[in-house]
Amino acid sequence: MEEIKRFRASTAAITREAEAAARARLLHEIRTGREPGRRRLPRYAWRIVLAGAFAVVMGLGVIRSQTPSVVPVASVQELSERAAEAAETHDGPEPSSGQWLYVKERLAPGAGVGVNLDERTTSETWTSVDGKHQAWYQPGGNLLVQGTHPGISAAELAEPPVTPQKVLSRIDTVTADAMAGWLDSDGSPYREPREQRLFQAIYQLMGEQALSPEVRAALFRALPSIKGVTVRPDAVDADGRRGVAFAYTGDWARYELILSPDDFRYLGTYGVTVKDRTNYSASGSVFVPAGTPLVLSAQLETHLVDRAGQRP
Amino acid sequence: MTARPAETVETDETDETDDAELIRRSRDDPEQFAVLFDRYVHQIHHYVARRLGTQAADDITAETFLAAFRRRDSYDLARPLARPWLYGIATTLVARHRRGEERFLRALSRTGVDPLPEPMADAVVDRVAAQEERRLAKALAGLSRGDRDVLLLIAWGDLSYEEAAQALGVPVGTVRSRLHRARKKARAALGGDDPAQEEE
Repeated sequence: MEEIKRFRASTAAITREAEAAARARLLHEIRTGREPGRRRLPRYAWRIVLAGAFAVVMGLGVIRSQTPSVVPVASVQELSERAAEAAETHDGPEPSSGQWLYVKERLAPGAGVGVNLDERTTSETWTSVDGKHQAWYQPGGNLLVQGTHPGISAAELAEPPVTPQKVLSRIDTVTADAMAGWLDSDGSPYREPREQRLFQAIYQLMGEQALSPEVRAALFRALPSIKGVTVRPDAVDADGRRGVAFAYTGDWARYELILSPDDFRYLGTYGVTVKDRTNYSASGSVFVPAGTPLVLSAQLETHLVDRAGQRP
Repeated sequence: MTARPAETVETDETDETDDAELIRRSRDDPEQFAVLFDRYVHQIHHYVARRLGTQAADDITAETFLAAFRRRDSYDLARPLARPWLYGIATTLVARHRRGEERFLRALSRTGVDPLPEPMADAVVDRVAAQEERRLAKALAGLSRGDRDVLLLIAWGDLSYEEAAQALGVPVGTVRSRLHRARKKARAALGGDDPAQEEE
């Protein structure tokens, strides 16, 4: 028996993050009498979740004139669980095959390296509801349709069973493959921490794609298991809306996925460097000081439309 | 901010309480059940992670305690220790991943490299399994699910025959015969040595 007892005995213990996430799920069930996220959706129960999209569209002025009280969120687990629960209870219109998700965003425009926080532009994009393609108008007026990054679709993520670990490992596989051939600015193979890759893929999926409530909730529940993900209670999006954010801080930059503090719908993203770095390229080197903003966005509207390029 | 449990349950009065009593109290005061989680989460996770890898274990561990909480009304209060019950639930959940488990064991036996994804938190140095482990992996992969469950509940979960019987809801005699069969097959696969040689 000793031989078998030794076999794989050195398997790593549960991480603090995983233990805390499991405990949070149990406590949620204990307190509410139901465990969120495990219900099976009927086959056609696809729903647009961009939680609260209607509220944004129909009540933009109202929302902006209020300053929602910032909900204190004690931990990343708690934010994860509350956001997941909100995503699950949201019923939106169901996309049908062939439709596109129109997303209107306000952005800080690019400024060499990083973005200019003093200016804003508006961006319109269309993402096919299968998550495979994205379209936008080029300056000349032509509609450009391209594949999405990370190239993982809402439909693939929705294949049952939808669990936090499963959606995460699927995203991990796809994004690792997608970046395998990339080179860094100095020509060396591009290396990005796995955690950062996962975090960015999740916030991109949440901002661009027509995710089912189940998938969106699973993504929220997966976030605490990514090492380095924390909560920032004081985030602000490109539209000036205050929110609560999941944040990931890597070696060089911090990225935030900003949610509405009252109903946890997606508001926008923010990224900023946290360390000085020099980028090398063929045209020379560029010094990028810590504190350089990399992205600032705010989602203003989302609608389902029948073809790419169609405005609601 | 670092990850930590969302809330701490008072445990002052429950530290010395046996599992059955905790479960009984949790029928009126559900939060008592969290103490059971704290007592067993590490063991259950380790057992599942050895079978399926840490990522799958994260989910299955959470689901084990949720399932246990929902079934607490049917717990036999005459059994002071809840370990066999929890291991039984975890083993049932592991069964859903049976093909994955067998695929992993075969890969390990073939290449000597543990193909399971490591937890993101740890940068674990790849370790090439010894010849003994590779043969063992092959032997385990060749067992039926029922036989493997019994063998690993006893070897890894440290359950007694009686507890393994409770965990799986089968008679003790069945546990004995499954273990006997598992050991025989493992012995054959290992070329004569009995890796499950019991000091009885």
